[in-house]
Amino acid sequence: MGFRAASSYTNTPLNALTGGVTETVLFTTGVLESPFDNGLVILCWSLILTAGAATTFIGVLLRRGVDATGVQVSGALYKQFVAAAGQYIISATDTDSPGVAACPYTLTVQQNTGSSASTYVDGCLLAFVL
Amino acid sequence: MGFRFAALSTTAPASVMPANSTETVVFALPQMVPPTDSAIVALMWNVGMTPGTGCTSFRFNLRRGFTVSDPLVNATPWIATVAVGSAIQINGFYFDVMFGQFWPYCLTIQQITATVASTLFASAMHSFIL
Repeated sequence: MGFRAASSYTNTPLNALTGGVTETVLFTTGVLESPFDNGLVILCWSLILTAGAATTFIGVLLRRGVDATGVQVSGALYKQFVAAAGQYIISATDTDSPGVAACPYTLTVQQNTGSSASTYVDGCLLAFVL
Repeated sequence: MGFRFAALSTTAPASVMPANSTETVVFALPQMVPPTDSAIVALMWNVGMTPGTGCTSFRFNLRRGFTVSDPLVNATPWIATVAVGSAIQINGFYFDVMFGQFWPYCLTIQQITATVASTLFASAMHSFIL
């Protein structure tokens, strides 16, 4: 008898990007079924956008949960420096070891102070257990 | 008895970039053994590129099939702003749900608006069933 490890994914943006430093939830996966041991969760994401006026960086955080208050998975803010009106493909991976607790994962986006909202083009968030 | 899900990868470019803005198949993966249900296919790619003269951005597409006329997997083309002559690494993730069918996948690139071919280096594409 074989088995399949859990995975969850989305390419549905939940909110429009906002300007300034407000942390905005962009993607939330479904609940990832609990691994039966301390299996590693691999998180992969891509974000394609057009930088808004006065935008100098795009910041991304991965969190457990469904909102911007969940436990931060990322060690620090992923910060990609950009030029206003430029189009960018920003991607990264991270890992989490949630133990046996089933949880969804959320990707949030924030920008620099005084920036206008960037325009979302495409993207996704994948989470899967190894 | 356990089992292993299908996985494919390549680091061998299918074509060199042209000295124009023609969409070009850079990587092509053969047909993937179908999963028995609607499991997702994770797609990962990494491209190292030195933009040729006149190239101010790259447009990336993931497609089901081997050619530039096959259906898009990503929702819209992914565009990355670049600077002529400055080598850049760009990577991305996406997923597809193929419902038991055999699908090859390819990654295409279009140079906007190169008059000298960009140079590809240290690149790869992977697909695997979760």
